Amino acid sequence: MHFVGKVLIVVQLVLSVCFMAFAGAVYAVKENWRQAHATLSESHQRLGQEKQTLEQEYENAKNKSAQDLQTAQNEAARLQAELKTEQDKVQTLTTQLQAVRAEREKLLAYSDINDREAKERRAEALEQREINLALHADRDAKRLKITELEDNLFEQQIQIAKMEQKQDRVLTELALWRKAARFTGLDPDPRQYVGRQDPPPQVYGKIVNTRGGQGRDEDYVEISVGSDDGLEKGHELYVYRTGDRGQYMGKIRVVYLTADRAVGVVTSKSKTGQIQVGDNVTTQL
Amino acid sequence: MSPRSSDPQPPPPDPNIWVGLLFAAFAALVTGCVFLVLELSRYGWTAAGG
Repeated sequence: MHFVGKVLIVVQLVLSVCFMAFAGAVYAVKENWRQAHATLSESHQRLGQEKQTLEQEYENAKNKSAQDLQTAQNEAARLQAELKTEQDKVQTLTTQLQAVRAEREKLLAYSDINDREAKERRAEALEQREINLALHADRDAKRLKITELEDNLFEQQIQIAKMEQKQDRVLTELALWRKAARFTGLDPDPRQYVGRQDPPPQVYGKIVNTRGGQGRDEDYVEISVGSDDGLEKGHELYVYRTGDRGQYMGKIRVVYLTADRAVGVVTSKSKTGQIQVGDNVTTQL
Repeated sequence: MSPRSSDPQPPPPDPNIWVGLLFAAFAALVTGCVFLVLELSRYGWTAAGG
């Protein structure tokens, strides 16, 4: 074999081995670009979808933000209007407050004046109360006096009524006596009997008290009849005692008179007994 | 045609080291081609008409 053929064989062998090694290295080590492309394509597609989703979300968020912004702007405009209204109200209220303060100052001044007036009136009321108390005391005293006077007036009226009744009865009796005097032939003119002692009327009474008889010269007795019954000073009355049998106890002469009582001095005594309280007296036995 | 063609045919030469190297080179080429085919098959490669 020629030397060149040998060299070519060796070169062919070396190149073949290199080709085999290079092909094996490529098969063993080299990355699968198709698989990588598919993976990247899938990733790109997924990222594109995510991008669309995010863009949609961004759009939605943008729209929502725009709506919120519009709402906020509307709310801000409304609040601005309310603020303006409130400011107007504040202005109005401030004006009213100033007016009220001025009124308050005026009322405080009136209040001071009223306080002073009240103090003066209180002092005056205290003085008037003292005067009133004195007037009340005077009124009570006068009322008591009026009551006493009314009582006296009432008693006087009762006395007047009694006197009127008595006057009527006396006038009636006077008419009857005048009639009786004419029938009996007596002069009915009372002036014919002036200065003459009247005969005692027919009265009955009792001894209500006795005094004397112990070393005194005269004995006195008090009887239950008086001037209203027709007795007069100087009239004589008989004293008697009732019981199983009547008993004459003596005679008395009237020396003192009241309306319903009389005091007599004993002018004669019975020897059978002492005049006692409860014995009877009469002008005619 | 060389004049030695009319000569009686000499006996075929015995395989020697160079023939072995040629076979080795052939085997290396075939192996390299197999690796290339396998690599191309990853990308969907198919033989023409296949």
